Amino acid sequence: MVKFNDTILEVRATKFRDRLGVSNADPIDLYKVLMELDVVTNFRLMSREFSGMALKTGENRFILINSDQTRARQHFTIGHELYHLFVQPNFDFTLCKAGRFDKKDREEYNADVFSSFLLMPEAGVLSSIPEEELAHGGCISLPTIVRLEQHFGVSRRALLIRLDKLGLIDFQQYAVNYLTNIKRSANELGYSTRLYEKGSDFKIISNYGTICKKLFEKEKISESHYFNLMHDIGINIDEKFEENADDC
Amino acid sequence: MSNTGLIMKSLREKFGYVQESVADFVGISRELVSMYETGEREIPIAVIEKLSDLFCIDPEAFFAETTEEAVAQIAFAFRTDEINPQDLKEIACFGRIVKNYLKIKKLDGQI
Repeated sequence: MVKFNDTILEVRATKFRDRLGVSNADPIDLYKVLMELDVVTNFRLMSREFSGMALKTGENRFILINSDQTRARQHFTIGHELYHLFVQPNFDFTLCKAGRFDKKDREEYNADVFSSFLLMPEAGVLSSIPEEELAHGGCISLPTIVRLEQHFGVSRRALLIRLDKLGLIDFQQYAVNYLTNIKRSANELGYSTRLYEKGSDFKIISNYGTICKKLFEKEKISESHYFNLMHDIGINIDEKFEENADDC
Repeated sequence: MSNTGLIMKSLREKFGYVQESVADFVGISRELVSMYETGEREIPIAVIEKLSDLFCIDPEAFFAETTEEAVAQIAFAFRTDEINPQDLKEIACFGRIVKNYLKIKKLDGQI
C-alpha cells in the first residue's frame, strides 16, 4: 500500500493538474474543472459548521458546497472534495472536521494538503513573488499576499499556511498582523472583496438541466416532470427575463 | 424476513446520524425509528422515500438482499463540525438531486 505523505500528495496534485491540462504555475478554474470532470456540484445554504460533502455512487460523482461560506473557503472545500472523489484510495466514507489540517484523521489531512497544493502550486506561488522579497533578508509584503490570494482564489489563512509550508514566512507571526482587516487590505489595494464574501454565482454546476431539457424535447418526460426536476435544483423554468437587445 | 429495517439502520450509522435526528427529519418519534430498524414495524413507502433523499440513495436500495449490498452503493465524506436539523433538510434536497441525476442519465441511456 502506498504510504501518503506531503510529497506524494504534491505529486498527485501536479498529476491532477496535468490531467486537466492546467500548467503548474497557473491558477486553477475549479468551476470549469467540475464541469469537465462531470462532478454534479450543488451550492446550498448550510449551517456555519458545514463546509461540504463529496458523494460517489458507481462512477457518478457529486459535491455539496455550503454557499454561506466565503468564496475563498468554498474553493478550498472543492479542492478537498476532489481529493476524496478522484485521489483517495478506497474511498468509502469519512466524517471530518473542517479546515484543521488534522493529522489524526489521515485522509482528512491528506484532502486538506492536496487542496492546498492543487490551488497553490509551488511554481505558481514562487513566480508571483517579487525576487527582492524572496531574497535573503527579504519578507513577503502585504501587497504580495493580497495579490497571491486574489490570483489563486484562496483565503488569507490558506495562503499563509501554504507560504509557511514553503518556508517563506512564519505563520504565527504573519497571522498576528494579517489575519484581521482582510477585506479592507484588499480594498485599499484596489482589489474586489468578492473573494472574501459569502455566496455563489451557481445553484448547480452540471449538465443536469441540459439532460432534462433533452428528455423533455424527446418526450421521454412530461412537462410537469421537467418542471419538477428543474425545481429541485432551484430553477423555475417559467421565470420571466428582461432580455437586453444590446447584449445579443 | 425483510432486511429493510437493518438497511435503514446501517445507512443511518454509516452517515453518523443518531435516531433522534432521523426521527426529527422524517417527522416521527425516535421510538418509531427504533421499531422500523428492528423490524418491529414495517417502514411505509412514504418514509422510505424521505430516507432515500436523506441517504442520497435509490429507494430500491432499501430492498437489497443484504445490508452490505445496500450500503456499498455510496461512498461519501462530510466536511463539517456537526450536522444540525437544517443541514439534514439541505442534505436531503441534495440527495434528491443525486437521485434525479441518476434517473435522468438512465433515461438518457448514459447509464
